[in-house]
Amino acid sequence: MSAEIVSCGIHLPRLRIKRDEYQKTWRYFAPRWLEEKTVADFDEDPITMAVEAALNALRNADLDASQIDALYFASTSPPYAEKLNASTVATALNCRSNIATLDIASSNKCGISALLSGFDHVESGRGRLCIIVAADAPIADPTGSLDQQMGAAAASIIIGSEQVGALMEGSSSITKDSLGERFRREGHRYLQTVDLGRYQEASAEEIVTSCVTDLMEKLERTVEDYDFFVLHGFEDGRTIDLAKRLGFEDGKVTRAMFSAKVGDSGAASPVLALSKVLESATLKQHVILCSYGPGAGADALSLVVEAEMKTNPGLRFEDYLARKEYVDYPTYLKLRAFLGGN
Amino acid sequence: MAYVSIPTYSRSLPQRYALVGAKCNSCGIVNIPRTLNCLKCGATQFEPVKLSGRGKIYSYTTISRGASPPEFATQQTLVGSYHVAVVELDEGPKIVAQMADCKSEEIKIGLPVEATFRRIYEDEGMIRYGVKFRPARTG
Repeated sequence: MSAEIVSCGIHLPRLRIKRDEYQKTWRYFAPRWLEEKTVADFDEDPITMAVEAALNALRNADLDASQIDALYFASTSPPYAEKLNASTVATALNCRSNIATLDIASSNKCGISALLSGFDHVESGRGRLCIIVAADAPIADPTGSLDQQMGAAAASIIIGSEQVGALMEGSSSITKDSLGERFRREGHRYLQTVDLGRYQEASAEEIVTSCVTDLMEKLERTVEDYDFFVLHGFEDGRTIDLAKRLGFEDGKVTRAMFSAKVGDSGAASPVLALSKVLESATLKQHVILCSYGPGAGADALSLVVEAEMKTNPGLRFEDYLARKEYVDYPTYLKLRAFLGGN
Repeated sequence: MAYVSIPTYSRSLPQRYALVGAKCNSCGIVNIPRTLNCLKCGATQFEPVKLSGRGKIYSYTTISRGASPPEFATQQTLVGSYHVAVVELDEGPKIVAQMADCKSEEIKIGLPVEATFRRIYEDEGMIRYGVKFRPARTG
């Protein structure tokens, strides 16, 4: 049975902090690519953001939550380390009780892992409609530079077999154990990295390169066959460099780990970037996406647009970017406390 | 408001998370929260109905420092005064909830609002989620 992306929905918190606020306090701001980033309000977390994004996906598809057969929730910063998080989202959406739920965590690529599992759910005939939602607000030590890039966002995708949308053409995955990149030990609050410079970059690039080329070989495609390349896991300059080496032109590349006005929203980033691409993609266009998770693994998938996505007014990426209120740095620190960041 | 036990809270989750009300089978009005007898006609048979979450501010107040119930003490320590509104929902019933995503000067009687799913407070180590309202967005 084939499976298609039926609709997408996103959510960005309303609060923002500008790079100037960091510069005033710290005299430096490491993520050069970042102008401002989203900040979760005191009463927002990955669960509440997930609900907003999933409701938007349902609205965009004119579907009722009672039609959903499975809900997969992906986050590297779930409010509960143990206790199902997806059940809260499902109840808030008013889903039926006889649905399959799953929490997927512990890697930046878990949003795309959820998407691939969602395709499996529908392709296998286990359920007819699966909603996946990736929501994240990663937390790092505010005295280090890693915190400076962290934003907050959620994105949701509905997968079905009876509706027409973006058809899943194939996928490819690579796994290779690697140490030192972004990690968070059990019981620890903050993300960490060991800066290994070029060694680390080369290893990540090798994984992504084999994942993308493997998928194109499988599908007997070349870069010319694709209209959009969504790459997740690298900062701006490196995304472009790597995409160029793979043969993709600048204009086709969507940077998915970092958006200049959102920040790094962990597992939500690639799903958000894919939603943004599908908002504007037209009939017969092809999309290839690769999500990289430190530690390390990559998943790539290929899509073809069979029906253009409908996004209701007020729910598009640009609408969410436009609705904002700035906070200063002390307020930002206060708000982080609610996410357990101190 | 005072302590709400976990069993009591859990029984009302569809109402608290998704605004599922009880539509009276005899007179048709929507009761939320659900009561044993319909508030209008006293009947006892209901159909669950998911409300749109859209409505208007019927009245509102500001809870200043020192005036919040204990479960909102942490919120108040960190973010100060907050606004609570009586919202008249499109389907008829009025409910009380906090306002979110707006500045004090935006809040007015008659303002169109919509529901948003938020953290309400924490108790016994668990997060109590529920609905707040924000100014309605177009679309």
